[in-house]
Amino acid sequence: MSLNITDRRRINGPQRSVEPVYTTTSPVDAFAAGGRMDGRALDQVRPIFIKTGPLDAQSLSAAAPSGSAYYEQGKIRVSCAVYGPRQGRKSSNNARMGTFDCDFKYAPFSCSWKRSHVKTSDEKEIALMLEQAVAPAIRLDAYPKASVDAFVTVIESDGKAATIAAAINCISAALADAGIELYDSVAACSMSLHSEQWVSDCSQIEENASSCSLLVARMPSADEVTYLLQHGKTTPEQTQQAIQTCANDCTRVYAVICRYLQATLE
Amino acid sequence: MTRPDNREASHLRAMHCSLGQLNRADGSAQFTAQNTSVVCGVFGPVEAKVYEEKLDRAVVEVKFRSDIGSSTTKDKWVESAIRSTFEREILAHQHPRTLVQINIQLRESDGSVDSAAINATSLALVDAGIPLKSMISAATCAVLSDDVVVVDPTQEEIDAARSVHTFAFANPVSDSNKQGPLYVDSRGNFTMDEYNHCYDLCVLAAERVLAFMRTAIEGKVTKEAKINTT
Amino acid sequence: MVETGQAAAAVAMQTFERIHPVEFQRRFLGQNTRHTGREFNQFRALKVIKGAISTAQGSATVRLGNTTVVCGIKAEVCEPDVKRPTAGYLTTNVELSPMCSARFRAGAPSDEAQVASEHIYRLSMHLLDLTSLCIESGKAAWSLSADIVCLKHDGNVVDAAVIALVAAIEDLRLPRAEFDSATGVVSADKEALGHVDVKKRLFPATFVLVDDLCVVADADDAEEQMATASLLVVMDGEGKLVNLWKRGAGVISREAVEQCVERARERMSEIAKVLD
Repeated sequence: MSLNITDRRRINGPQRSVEPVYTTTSPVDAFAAGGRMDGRALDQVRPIFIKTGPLDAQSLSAAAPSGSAYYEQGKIRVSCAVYGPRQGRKSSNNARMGTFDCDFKYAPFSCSWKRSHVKTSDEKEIALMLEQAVAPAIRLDAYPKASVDAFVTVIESDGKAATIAAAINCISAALADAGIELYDSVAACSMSLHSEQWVSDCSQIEENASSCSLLVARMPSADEVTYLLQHGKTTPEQTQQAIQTCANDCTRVYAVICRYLQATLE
Repeated sequence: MTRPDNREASHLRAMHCSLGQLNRADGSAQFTAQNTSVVCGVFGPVEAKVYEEKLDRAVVEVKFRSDIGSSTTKDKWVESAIRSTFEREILAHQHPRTLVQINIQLRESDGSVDSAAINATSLALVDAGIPLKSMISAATCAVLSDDVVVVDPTQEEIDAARSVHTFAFANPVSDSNKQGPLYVDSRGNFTMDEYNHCYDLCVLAAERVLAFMRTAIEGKVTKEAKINTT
Repeated sequence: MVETGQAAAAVAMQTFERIHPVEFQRRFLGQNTRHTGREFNQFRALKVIKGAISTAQGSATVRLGNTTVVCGIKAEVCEPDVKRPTAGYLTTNVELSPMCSARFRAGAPSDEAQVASEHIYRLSMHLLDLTSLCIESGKAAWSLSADIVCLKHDGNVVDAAVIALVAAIEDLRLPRAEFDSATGVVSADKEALGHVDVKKRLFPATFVLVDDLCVVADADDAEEQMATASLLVVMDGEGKLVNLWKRGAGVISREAVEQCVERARERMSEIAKVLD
């Protein structure tokens, strides 16, 4: 049930609205048929589509972003715009290093339930995660006193961990498109644990059925992990195994991004 | 056909306006057409905030407050309409790096609010002595379901109307008529012929409103002149 | 210009555009052409993709030249307003985030977004018969929230937003819902989806007076920055006007307005072709 807060800067609907009770619900067990619902192998990542520069200006407008990317992974659709390096805010002025800020927003219609227009705490948390995952790849020392800002909007999501991973990949592509100096591109991948087996890149239904999910962001060429996130319980051995598999998945995703970026140069 | 208040179709409601009611503001005016009443206070030119000041001109800021409830997107919409109408009519480049603040408070609403707000703003700007290219006056008319066009409709008539048209013209109205209106908002279901008919009616109505506003200003100026000479 | 080949000329042009955007535009307008090579009354290419988003009950992506907006509709059930027991709700909000243009700040909607939301909300009244959203009179009705997210702002967002809203409403599929008076619960059958009757399609066309010189259709961002007046014409499918909205102090003559309305009439069939 959502209690709609009256927002005087928006058009408001009724005070209170709820989702109807659906009589025919989708199958609860995502792995009931023995395999995955969409017929993927357990370690298979959904097909990826990237396009850089969809938001770049045709004409030289000061208001247009310096780089942008649109990223699809299965049903997940993420769009990202990067501004910068531009003049940093006074308060965060660091004479020697630039700053990297990230803003993350789910579109109100991007999830299976209606999301609020106002930024929620989990969106702020994800924004921070994205910042921490991507910042290590940026040569911030090359941009003293400047700031690089990334704005991410999720148009459609399918699996929380996978959406965050998609957002990281999208930012990486947009940063490259903006011509920001990078040590390496960050590629991210997620997986979930289902009955003692790790399943790569889970959709929302699969994620709901799993007991643990793990996200790895990594710079494959430098072979460094930049972000690691785990929810749920596992044994240390299981986690170790998952990090290794996820890292391999990252390399595969990385290859896709790099191949695309190379193709845009030719 | 008779209108709820027994007016003729082309008649405006009885207007009333008073200037300089608010003693804290640099200029103020109240514009009343029977049950629609708007107060406008103008501050300016005053110091602008550093981040919003413009180097070559004054910034025009409009705040509109409805009679009931807190501010909503509806008020923002009216603000943008009024700002866009007056922004260039105010000779802003004479006061660079300053702010002209227009505060509008709706006191009573009974239809034709947008045009009343424009008229009140126009009067208040004159009262504040802000240099203007011309005085702006506005009028509203409505096409009722039986194709009768009424000028200065009440809320009751607007609710039943097929389309509602609001126009604002620069002074002198007849010249401005040849060039085109400053502001148009026509909504509902209408044809171009109906639009043109309403346009002509509003030109006449706006002319009458302007004449009335002029008398009000003249009245105030002569009164002030008398005080100054004695 | 020094004759050092085309590349140097292109660089010089880019520099000119960046340093003096207003003069840059004027040079083109003075020659009766636009900086993109379009005719004055020519709109940009329109592309509509309906129903791409599975998490929304209805959705559409609209590209108008570079301007890109996505509209998604979420359907929930609510108790109808006491004053209108058989009517549902349709709310429309336009989201102009910093992603689409550096002019917007993160956080609360800007004035431009609020005005666009409000104006499109007023227009949306013509789109649907709200009583068709009724599930049980006085007890339950659908509440549709249409959110229009702008991904790329390159001028004329209002046109794109209105087209996106119309396309999303046409794409909208609501499950058959039943109200259980004993429990007060609305149950819906996801298998039995049905369209909502669209009362009227809306066909917008925006014209902009650039630099007090000429009226151009479907201005891009650079032209919009120089605009002194804008005129929005919205038509229904039968060639009747629904809205005529002129803002800004620039003078658009009566004849020019009539020409714009004529152009909007042609535009109506152009948009209809893309929507079908």
